[in-house]
Amino acid sequence: MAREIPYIAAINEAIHLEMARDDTVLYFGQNLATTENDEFVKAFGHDRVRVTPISETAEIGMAIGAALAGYRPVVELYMAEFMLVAMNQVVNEGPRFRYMSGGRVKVPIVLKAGYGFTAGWAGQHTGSIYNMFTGIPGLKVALPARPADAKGLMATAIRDDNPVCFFHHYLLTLEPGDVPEGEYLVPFGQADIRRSGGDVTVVATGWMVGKALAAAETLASEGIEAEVIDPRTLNPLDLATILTSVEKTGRAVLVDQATRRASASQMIAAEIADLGFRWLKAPIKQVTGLEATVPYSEPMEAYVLPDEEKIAGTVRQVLGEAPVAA
Amino acid sequence: MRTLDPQTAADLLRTTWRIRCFEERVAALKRTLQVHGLIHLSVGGEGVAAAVCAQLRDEDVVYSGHRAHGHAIAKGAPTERVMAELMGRVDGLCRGLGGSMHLVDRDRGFFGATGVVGGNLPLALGNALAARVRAGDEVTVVFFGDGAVQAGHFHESVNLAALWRLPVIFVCENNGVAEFTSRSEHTTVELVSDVVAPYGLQRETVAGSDVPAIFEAFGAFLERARAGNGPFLLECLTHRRRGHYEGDPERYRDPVAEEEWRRRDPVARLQAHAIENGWLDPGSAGAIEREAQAEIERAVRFARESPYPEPGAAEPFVYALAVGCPEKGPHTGPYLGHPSATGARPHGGAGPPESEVTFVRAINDALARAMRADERVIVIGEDVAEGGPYMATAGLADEFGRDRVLNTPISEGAVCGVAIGAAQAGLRPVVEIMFIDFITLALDQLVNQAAKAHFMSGGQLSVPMVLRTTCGAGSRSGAQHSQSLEAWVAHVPGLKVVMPSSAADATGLLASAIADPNPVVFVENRALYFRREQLPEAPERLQLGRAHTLRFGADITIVATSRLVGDALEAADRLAAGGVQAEVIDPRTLLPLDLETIAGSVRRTGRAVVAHEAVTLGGFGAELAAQIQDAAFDRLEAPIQRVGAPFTPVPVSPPLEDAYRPGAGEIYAAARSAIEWDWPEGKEPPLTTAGGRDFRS
Ligand SMILES: Cc1ncc(C[n+]2csc(CCOP(=O)(O)OP(=O)(O)O)c2C)c(N)n1
Ligand SMILES: [Mg+2]
Repeated sequence: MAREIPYIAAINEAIHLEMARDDTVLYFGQNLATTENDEFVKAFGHDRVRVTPISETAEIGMAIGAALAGYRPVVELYMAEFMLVAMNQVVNEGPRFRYMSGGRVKVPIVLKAGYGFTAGWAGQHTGSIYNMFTGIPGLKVALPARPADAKGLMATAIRDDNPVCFFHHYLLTLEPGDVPEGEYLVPFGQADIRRSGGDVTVVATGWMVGKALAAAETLASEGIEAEVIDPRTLNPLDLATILTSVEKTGRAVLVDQATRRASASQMIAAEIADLGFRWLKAPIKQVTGLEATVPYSEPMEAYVLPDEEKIAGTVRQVLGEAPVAA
Repeated sequence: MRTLDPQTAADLLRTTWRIRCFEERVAALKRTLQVHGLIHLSVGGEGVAAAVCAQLRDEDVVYSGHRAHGHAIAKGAPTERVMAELMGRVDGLCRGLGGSMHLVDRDRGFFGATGVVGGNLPLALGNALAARVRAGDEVTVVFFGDGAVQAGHFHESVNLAALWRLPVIFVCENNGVAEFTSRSEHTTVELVSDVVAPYGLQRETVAGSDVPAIFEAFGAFLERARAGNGPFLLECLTHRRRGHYEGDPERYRDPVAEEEWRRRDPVARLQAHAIENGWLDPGSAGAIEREAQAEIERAVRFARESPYPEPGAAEPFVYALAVGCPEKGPHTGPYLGHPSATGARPHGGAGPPESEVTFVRAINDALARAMRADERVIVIGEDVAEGGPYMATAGLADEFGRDRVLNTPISEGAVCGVAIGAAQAGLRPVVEIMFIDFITLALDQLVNQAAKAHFMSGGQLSVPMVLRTTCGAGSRSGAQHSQSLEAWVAHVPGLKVVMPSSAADATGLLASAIADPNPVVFVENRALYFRREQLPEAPERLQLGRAHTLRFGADITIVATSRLVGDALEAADRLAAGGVQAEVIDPRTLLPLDLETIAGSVRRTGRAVVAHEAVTLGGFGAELAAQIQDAAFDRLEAPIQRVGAPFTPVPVSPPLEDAYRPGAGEIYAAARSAIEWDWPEGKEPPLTTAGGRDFRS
């Protein structure tokens, strides 16, 4: 049975259910469990739900240590950009142990962080830096775009035996959606075709999925049918679904809130350009954040971000732009 | 020791009222959404800002954190321009680019706020270091909260400041809470002044509501810091009267304590103190408050009348431009006109007199030349004064002294921050991080501070620093000393990224990187370090953003970086033996990227291989491939082949590592498959997921 709950409630529900199901699941982070009234504290006690100081390096390092000792910690990090303080733990420690020990140990941790808070939060709290984690062998990256996925991906992340970065979009926090009750898992590496269409493949993540769907509606009224795909996890990445779609449409537009250079979007573009080369009728185009730190002032902030209009415009461009014969 | 006199007391009271009125007005504006974003107010802490900043000169630099409005105003930032910034207007201090958490007023010595807790601490050290190098008597002050004390940056910075005896005054506003969590849940040490005791700092704890006491204690430290002593720590026990941020539901409040703190309000106490001493009569005290209120109303009007900035006006602030140099920032698209392939020189430079040197020796020479030519250039890093593990900085300490060649403790975050702060103060630091794997420890500084400062300050600050680091596998060093993480830094607007493939390029590019007004990450592959090369004795400077075509050919373009350039040339020889003429291009800088040369070549050849040592998935090759397919789509006759490492950590066992490292063989094979590729029956596209291999086994 599904019922409508907000994105953030779906994430909390997944953590709650997993903690009830498996008492090796721990939850800690800054400002967590500051009162005895906290629902996690009431249910699981302070041994499993802990508040930490502003010490990201120690928070993540401790999670790795606990994971090596048989626990499954979920670390609340609030902002993806704060993880930059602790990247050594995220990159050089967490995802390396399994490999460096020749498979003898595992590090099942979930690093939960919000991102993309483009609501005047300016230069250090708005970054969409998931690509920095996507290119790290041994790390997995989940990027839920709606409440059901938020719940299902979190549950899968907690059960995964590898370190997982779970990035939730702050502007989706209160967004409601149908979420199944009880145990619900969304497998990693399985994209979600949010809308079918035969004219162009649009790949979008996080907050951009809604914008791509809205653009697709506008385009439909012009007779253009876009297929909108949300990969849901960037690593593993479900290229099969994307390529199957490109085979059908011959055209691809990628939408990414991050700045473009060396981004996850460029990574997907390169894969399509390689493996889908034979089907492409036009260059792969991208709609991304402009190459700048996110500015504070509202009109400038809107200017650097992708929006429906930019997506629809790029789709029209890709459809109108027949390749020039060599 | 300076004690309060009547005039100073009135001035301090005026400043505290101006801050109080400003903050309360902002709270009201936030409720009606006239300011947006994340707003942290300092009501209850005005006395600290006023008593500290009143004693500073414009040249004394202040750094602050997320709760910074009061510090900026006390340091002299005009309230109307702070207000305009909070409203995102063009007349804001930072032209609307920074906002509440990133205020900067360079002319008033307010070098800025930061939104990452603890990130400001090492910057202050850099500023103080610059003052010492200039032999000035300026003092640097950094404000931070008790929450920052549990962050690694705090301990790294306090240690370094004490070690180098920097004229820095750390001012901690200890309000006993970080966001919604009390200090007792963060640490067992109640007082911050006790935390720093083992470092031997001069320290003092005073009541934050006692403005005369703060004034005196800070004044005493300042006098000694002016004379070249330091560092000092002044802890002020304060109370945050409003929520952590505007909108905070404040569930953690204790009503009894609140009432107690209200009685100890610093502004009211200062006013009463001044009246009691007969320094002010109640009438003129009331007038001070009313004047402050009127000033803030004028500030609101000024801000409202100021227009929003043109949206596109943000772009020019991503990069600083060198004075008098027409160079465009890389964000504006293809790099400025360059003589496509015509500037190409054979690998190894030209023109006598020449000498044979290694790559690492060439770096060493370039550093020495830059230090001789410009005394603002300093070198900082672990072991640099001893020459470093590869002798890249050998001899520099002897020639230039240990004031310009500074050994540091193992504190990558603080060391990078010191370089940033020193760069903001006008030096040109070259910081060495031994392995690129370790920039993970300095990434907050590099990404959140260095890359963004110019932009967020609306162009007021610039960060002319170079971060030299090494990359690459092949030395059996394992998964934490062998990575190639350049794609990360290339993702960050505001940074430039250089990857030289030869000694000649390294010298020419390093000279440009040091002269550049932006933060440049300079990545050296250790596998190249001991290759010998003929080098002119006075090598020319190479402009950033220009690719180098090392070999011309009409059949296929090979774009390779760093170590893989040599492998690409080797592969090209083998291809030539089979009748295929390959063009080999080294971008030399990833950011800015010379797409014009690269795409121009592919448009002629119709086929491309991109090659680097980093992992293919998530490596910079994806960037190259994505840009090439866009710019040369109609000319492409085969899929762009990417050569890189497999998606695993770097293994340490010799046969495994050798198999892991891409080289000439892989480039040759990729080029052959691009040449042999054919429509419509090429290899079936493998519908597997690139990163989807399950390592759970
Ligand atoms: C590295 C990092 N981690 C977490 C945060 C989120 N955060 C913002 S302010 C704050 C509390 C800071 O407390 P303190 O330093 O005492 O300053 P106060 O707010 O009390 O003035 C936290 C945790 C951050 N900005 N940066
Ligand atoms: Mg505090």
